[in-house]
Amino acid sequence: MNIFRNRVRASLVLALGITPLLHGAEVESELVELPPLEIVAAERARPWYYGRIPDAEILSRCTDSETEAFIHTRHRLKELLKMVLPDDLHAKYDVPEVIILSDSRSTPTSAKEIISGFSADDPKKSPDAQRDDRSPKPRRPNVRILPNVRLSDLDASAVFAIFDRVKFQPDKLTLTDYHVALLLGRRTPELPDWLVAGFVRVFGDMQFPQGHIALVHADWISDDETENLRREKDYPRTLLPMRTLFEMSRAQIATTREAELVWRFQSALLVRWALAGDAARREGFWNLVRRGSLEALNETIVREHLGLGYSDLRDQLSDYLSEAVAEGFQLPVGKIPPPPSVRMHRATQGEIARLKGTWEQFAAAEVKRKHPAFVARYANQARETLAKGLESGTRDPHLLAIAGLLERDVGNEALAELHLEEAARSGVVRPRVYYELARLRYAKAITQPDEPNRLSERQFNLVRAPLEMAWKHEPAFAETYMLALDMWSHPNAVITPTEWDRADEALRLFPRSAALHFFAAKLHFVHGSTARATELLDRADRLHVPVPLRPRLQELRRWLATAEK
Amino acid sequence: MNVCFRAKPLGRALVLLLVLASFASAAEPFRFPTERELRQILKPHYAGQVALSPDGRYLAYTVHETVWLSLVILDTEDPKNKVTLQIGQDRWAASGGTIVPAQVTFMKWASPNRLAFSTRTAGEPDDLGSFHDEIRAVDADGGNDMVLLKSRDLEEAIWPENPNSEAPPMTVPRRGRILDLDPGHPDSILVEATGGVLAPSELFRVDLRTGKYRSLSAQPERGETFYDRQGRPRFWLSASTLTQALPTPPSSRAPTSDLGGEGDEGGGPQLRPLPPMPFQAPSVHSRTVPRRLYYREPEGSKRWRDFDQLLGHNPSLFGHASETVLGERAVPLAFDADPNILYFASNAGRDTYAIYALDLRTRQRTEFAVEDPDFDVVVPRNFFGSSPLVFDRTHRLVGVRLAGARAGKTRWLDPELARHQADLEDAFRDRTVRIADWDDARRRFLVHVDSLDQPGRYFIYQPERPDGFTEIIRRASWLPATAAHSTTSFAFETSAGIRLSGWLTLPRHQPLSSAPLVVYCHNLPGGRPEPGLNTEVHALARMGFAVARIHYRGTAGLGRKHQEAIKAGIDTVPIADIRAAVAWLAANKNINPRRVALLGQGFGGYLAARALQLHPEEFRCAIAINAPTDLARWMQDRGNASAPPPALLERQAFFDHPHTPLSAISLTREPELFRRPLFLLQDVERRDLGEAHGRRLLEALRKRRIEAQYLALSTEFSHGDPAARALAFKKIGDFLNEHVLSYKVELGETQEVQP
Repeated sequence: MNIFRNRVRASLVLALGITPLLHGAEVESELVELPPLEIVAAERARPWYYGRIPDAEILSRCTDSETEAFIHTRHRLKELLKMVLPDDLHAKYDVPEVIILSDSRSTPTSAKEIISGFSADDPKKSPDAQRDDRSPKPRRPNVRILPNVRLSDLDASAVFAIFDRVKFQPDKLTLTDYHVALLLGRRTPELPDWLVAGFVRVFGDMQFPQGHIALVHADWISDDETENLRREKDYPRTLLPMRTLFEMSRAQIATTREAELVWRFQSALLVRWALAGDAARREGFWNLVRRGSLEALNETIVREHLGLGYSDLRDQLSDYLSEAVAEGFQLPVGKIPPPPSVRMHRATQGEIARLKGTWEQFAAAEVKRKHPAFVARYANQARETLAKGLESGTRDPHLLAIAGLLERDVGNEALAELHLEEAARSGVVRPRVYYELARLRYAKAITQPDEPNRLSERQFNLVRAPLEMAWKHEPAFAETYMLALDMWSHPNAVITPTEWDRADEALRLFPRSAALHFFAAKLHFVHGSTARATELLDRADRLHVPVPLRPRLQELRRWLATAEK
Repeated sequence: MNVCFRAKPLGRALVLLLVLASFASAAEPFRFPTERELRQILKPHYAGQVALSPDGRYLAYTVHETVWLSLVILDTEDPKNKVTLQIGQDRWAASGGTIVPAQVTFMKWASPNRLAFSTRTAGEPDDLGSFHDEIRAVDADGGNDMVLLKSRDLEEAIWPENPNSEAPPMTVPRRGRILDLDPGHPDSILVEATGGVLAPSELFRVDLRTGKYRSLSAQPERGETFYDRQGRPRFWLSASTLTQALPTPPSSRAPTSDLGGEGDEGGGPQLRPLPPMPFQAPSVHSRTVPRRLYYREPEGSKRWRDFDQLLGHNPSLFGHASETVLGERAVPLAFDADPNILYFASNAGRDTYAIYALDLRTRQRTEFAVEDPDFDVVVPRNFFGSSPLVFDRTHRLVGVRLAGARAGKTRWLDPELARHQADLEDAFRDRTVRIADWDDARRRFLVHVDSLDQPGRYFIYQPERPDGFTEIIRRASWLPATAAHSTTSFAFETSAGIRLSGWLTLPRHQPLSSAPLVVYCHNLPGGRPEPGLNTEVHALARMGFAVARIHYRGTAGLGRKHQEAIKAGIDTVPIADIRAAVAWLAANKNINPRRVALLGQGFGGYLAARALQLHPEEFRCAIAINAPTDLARWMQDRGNASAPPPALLERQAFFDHPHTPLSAISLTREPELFRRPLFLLQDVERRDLGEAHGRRLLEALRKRRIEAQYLALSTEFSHGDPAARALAFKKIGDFLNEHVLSYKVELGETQEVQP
């Protein structure tokens, strides 16, 4: 067993899996995995077709029946997922998912073209200079294009799947644990850490054959431990006390690799135990999860929902562990509602640009983050795609939004601002557009304040307006609140009661964000509530504090100490 | 069998319908346990004894399965590395009539790699006594397993008192008891050879590596000797009996103890080579006499002095007589590392037993005191028994294991251990947490965690690690946590102003909407709240019954007043408490007051039957296991050798009062008062309870056509054999099923039984 399961960011993994597309590359060279990108379609490629279902837009080169099979399977899997993970615990998106189904007969061709044209971009050198360079060449990276990938942004997600009609088997299609992690991780109010980690791991043990959901036997913290537990029912095992699991943050527990492992596997054991129970136990468990997303759990709440105190629950989990590693179980499946009907039509240039452009924007951001040397090709491809959509002369706000976010992601902020301003004016449904616009306006206000050393009311309002727009859409993301809290922390900011409520809302939605706790503490400190600021800093200390935030927390503590003196 | 069911057919049909309706509504259908399931429930738990090595790496524990006693040594860092040694076997006593379960009487790591332990089993053919003791040592990997001393090595020759007598000396057995590691000699232990009433005590130092041993001291007189941590005899309790049959050792032969005492290093016991003689136990309880406690200084004078006189006590506090068992008394518990500090238990001037320390130089109490106004901190049942005091490896007192209603808890005197205890109790809420052992560095702690409804688990606790809770032993993995029947304590005040408490176990699944109740009557005297899971209560709950354990007056551990209150009526007082508790439970818990049965063992069995006899309108039936049915006769049974003297003294103190009309309150006195079914179970091989007890009452009841059942038990039942116990409890279940649940009652003709 691989305890660090492959977290390939592929959402809908087809039977063919992930195929290396470059052969013969240097074995020892760096492996670069890139999202798929279609630069030029194969000559005989089928044209793009467009379809819409309630929660997704589809752009497909496949036949209608193939696309339909894909959509139906996706629907079945999502409905099955709802049967094991209640729908209200899923993240909600106002932006429909983008699904691009490419045909394996055309995409490999284009993929090869992409790869053959690839070399790491070196902005300092002209192509000629690069050609004349006689110095020892750095080892060419081993690049491969992932065929089936899900990418996500703060407010949307997209899937690129290469459809192989020879190998395609709808029942082999499955949701990846990354997809599930995203679904849980983006949900607000945030779900307990243990639930997200635990469910994702258990989901990895699930299979979705027709008619039921099967869970294969569980693994424990290492191959050895699993094997020992299978061989000997009473083999010693390490479990955290339930108070630790429920009442302490992951950051507090996972101070060692071993502790992190136990936390992760015990979280999964708890989820599995709940799923293996009767309907009453499952219901109690999900109600407990709901409570855990709203307030700090304690033994009274756990007992209320599970009928067990911490010690009894720990003992039951410990007993169940021996059973879980030895055998799997099946979950009953209810009636699956009929799949949505999808009517495909030849995609317009605008539809192609919007969906492909969205994908390419996500891909460029991903590549910038992970393999920045390759980003130019992705960014240029996205610009080209979007330009084609805008050629018709209509200023489609969706395309402008994508263009703005693309430029923001690749660091071209001036151009980003132009596009985002224009997209925002038309009220486009992309919460991130408003956040980025607010951020750019705020940054400008800080560097160019209307009044000496302070922001003017006009500047405050310029930032407020897009934030209010962002908050009207799902999903909420912490960045908007951080920006608002930071802005309100200016001494001359006039904060309305609604905005104070918004500050509380931030902590309610993201109770595990140390950064938000820091910004909220700062806000309260600046506006005179040192006690509340101290309380929030104390709470932040119990959370996972990213390294860059640590000095800021310490600095704020010093300010608080000085103020209290 | 007569069915004692007086309801009219229509009424019975209604009951049946209600019962069936409640079956139908249950989420999980109720099913009576099979004998096999009961065998599992009644099986002894793993790890009766545990010990963690000084470096925390190895854990030694005992496992008792079927007739075998095993020692397991587990590498806590790699639990796959485990060695198991068979170290004993349950066997019939050589004298027959009883099975002696193999047990480990001491276990402690002498070094990171060497474990010392002692076992007790039934006497082997060449043993003189009824027990066979072995002092053993083994390495952590199971190697170098040595029997260092065994019963035969400890036998003593008793010479005729008259030096001119030509009678040959008599060889008597002595039991080997490890006192502790020898603080002055690494890899050595101090072993006491105790002869009880037959031979004086002798102390040996035993080398765990070589097996060589040496006598350090031997007492001149029979009695019990109490040693300090350095192995010096400091107290001597005179023998409890006078017998003319037994010769006493000539004083000329008795070496007065000093640490440089006689003995041949490694040369075997210093006994004269005598041919073994057939040993016959004399009648040792011919007459009991008050016992006196004698003391002597650690250094200097070897003179024994009456300890009470030395302290100016009058009457005696440290003496031991049947009259004082329930009164004010004091009992030495242990010496500190400082040989002039004695810890002792006392209830002098107070209601409950507390623990104090006495500075023997000044003869004044120190500031040390562990007291509780409501509970006995310690229940001293016998002198020089296992001490509730916890010492670390440097012989420093670090804590006190509490008794009474707080049994299972420890009051730590060491702040670090107290802190860990608090952390552990926070981690294991609703559980009783006992730090059983720890390594020298105090990085690893062996922790026992259990509750009234859970069989217990051992953990290795590493406080420095967030994940430092490794469950290392499940004491009864065959009883999963899901099988637990919730057990909670209750307390209330009766209308007579008596404060009563107890435990109520509710069945996980029950056949009726409100639970039928079994009142589980514990034995007296000495019966007290015992922590941990009671497997018999668990078995009854598995049958669908709520089970109440009531700490009625007479129960130990709750103070003198509560215990002595029974003197006002050894039957009526506890029965009044039982009735009050049932009424309170019916009013406050989901208990059906019309379906109440009683069950008890020993004197608890008597109480169960007596309550049925006196209050047939309140109880459906009773089950009396090994119950004395003729109390006067029972008191005459006290001379039986199988009754240990402390138990005898306690029984005398409880029951043998001039104002207690034992014969008048015996069950056999007015058998016609029984109007409800009685089930008598009796171990017919027991020597401390004549078979006639059960048989006579059975005959008397049958003669009067009163329904009664009788089951003859074998000694396996008394010694905890799960198969024997399961068989008995299956019969008990059938009996309760028929007379309390009644859901199998035929709707045809019923023969009514008239009183």
